[in-house]
Amino acid sequence: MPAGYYVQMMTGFCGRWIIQKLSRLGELLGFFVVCLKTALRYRTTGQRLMARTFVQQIYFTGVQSLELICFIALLVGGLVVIQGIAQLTRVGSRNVLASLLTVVIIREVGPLLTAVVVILRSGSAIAIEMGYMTVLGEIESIEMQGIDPLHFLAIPRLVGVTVAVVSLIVFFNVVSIIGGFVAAWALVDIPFWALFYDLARAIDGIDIIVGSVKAVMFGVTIALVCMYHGFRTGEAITDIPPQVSRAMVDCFILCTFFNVLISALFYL
Amino acid sequence: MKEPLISADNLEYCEEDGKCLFTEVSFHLEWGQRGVLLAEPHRCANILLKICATLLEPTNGSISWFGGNAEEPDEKWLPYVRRRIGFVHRETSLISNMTILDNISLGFQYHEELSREQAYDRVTETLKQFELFDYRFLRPAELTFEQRRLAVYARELIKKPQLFLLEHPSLDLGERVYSFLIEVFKTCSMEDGCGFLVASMIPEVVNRWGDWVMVFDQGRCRHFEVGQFDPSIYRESMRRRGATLSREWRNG
Repeated sequence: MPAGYYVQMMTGFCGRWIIQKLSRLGELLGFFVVCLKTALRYRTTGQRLMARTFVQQIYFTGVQSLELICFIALLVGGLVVIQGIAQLTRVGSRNVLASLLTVVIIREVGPLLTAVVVILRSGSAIAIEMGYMTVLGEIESIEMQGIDPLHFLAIPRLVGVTVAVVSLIVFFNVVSIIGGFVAAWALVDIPFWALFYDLARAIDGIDIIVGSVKAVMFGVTIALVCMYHGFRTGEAITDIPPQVSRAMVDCFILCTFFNVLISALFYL
Repeated sequence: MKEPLISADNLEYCEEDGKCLFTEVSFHLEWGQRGVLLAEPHRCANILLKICATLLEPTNGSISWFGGNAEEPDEKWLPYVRRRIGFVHRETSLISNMTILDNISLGFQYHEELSREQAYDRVTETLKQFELFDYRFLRPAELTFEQRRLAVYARELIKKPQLFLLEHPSLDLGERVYSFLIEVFKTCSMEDGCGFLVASMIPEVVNRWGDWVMVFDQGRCRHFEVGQFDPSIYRESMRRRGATLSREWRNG
């Protein structure tokens, strides 16, 4: 086979992959716009019912994840400090430990790891729930009650997951910094107040803005992608697992992509 | 003069692979009228009922409900029409993570902004009438098929619809419950002028439900008045075509 054939095959493959991903992204954006329009159209309808579903979603995504997030955050905070101390002691720059915590945890790892936990816990649950409801004809029965399923099912989940993700990222950052402080104090006896002072100096307003933007983007992305795939399930029960797996992969790719994009936009 | 409950003109439905399930289907259902759709394979009737329920769009042809159609500019038109249609299809489609009480009172909670308790009060009588009151806090999976089916009927009846679309109305129901339902529907038909479109594979359904019959035969449909329709001829023609016959059919 000539080398040109392989080049053509590779470029063809890459082109198809990019077109497929871009068209998926376009569909997701379309779905988001439809959700927004639906939310506006029915803004005064079914508020009590919607509020209940919204609270349930926050409880499931936010409150029930606290334990897991706390455990992971403590470990990650400790880990970053252990690695920081090991590397920074060699170059005699242990005083930049607080900056390292800010850069690694608050700016990058905190939001992304929280998103991963939410994708695994709540994203999968949402995709499966929507998938089952579609296959079992429950969506149709909701429609026949004169209720728009996007309004009744999607909007409270979209808002609930976003609020929960924002809160969880804040919680993750606080707990992992505490974990880092404890590790630093236990390993090299740096006093709390000194680290706290350094940290307060290291955090900029931009870090808080970036963290908030990432949190909102991740929350919206996770809820949207999982519901989109759930609603796209066909007529058979066996259609659910592939859709859930696609939802998980898409969520992870999109969250990582947005993480890089937002960091590049604000810090470069 | 009142507009017909539902009016279909030259409906055609083709699947994505281009295979057409039916073509040139036309009918009108007037207030208080009862129509029966007999079809083998049953998917034709199922799809037609979903089109009549506004859940699917035909590939070609036009359909209108209560004098309006899906091209109405008012965005609230479709939800309004759906609330005037009671649709019971063969799969009991209760929401599985809600109790029977929540399932039945969902419409009240959503549209009328009632609190849970107020909505429950509104449905209590119906639950008692359908012998579901003692099971109101259970989820659908905890009920028998018959109870689930009854719950779906209760949910649809509580909307006080004017048009009923029923698929296999006797499915999973014992004779006593079925007769009770027939009485409920008869009252609705006489007092409120409700219309019924019933899909089935069993020709004997015509005796209980039909003012007219529409028989699907290889994608086309033929109309009969009840007096003209002979179930035995239909059964024999299906048998010749090798259709899968249910036990009720075989026994005639």
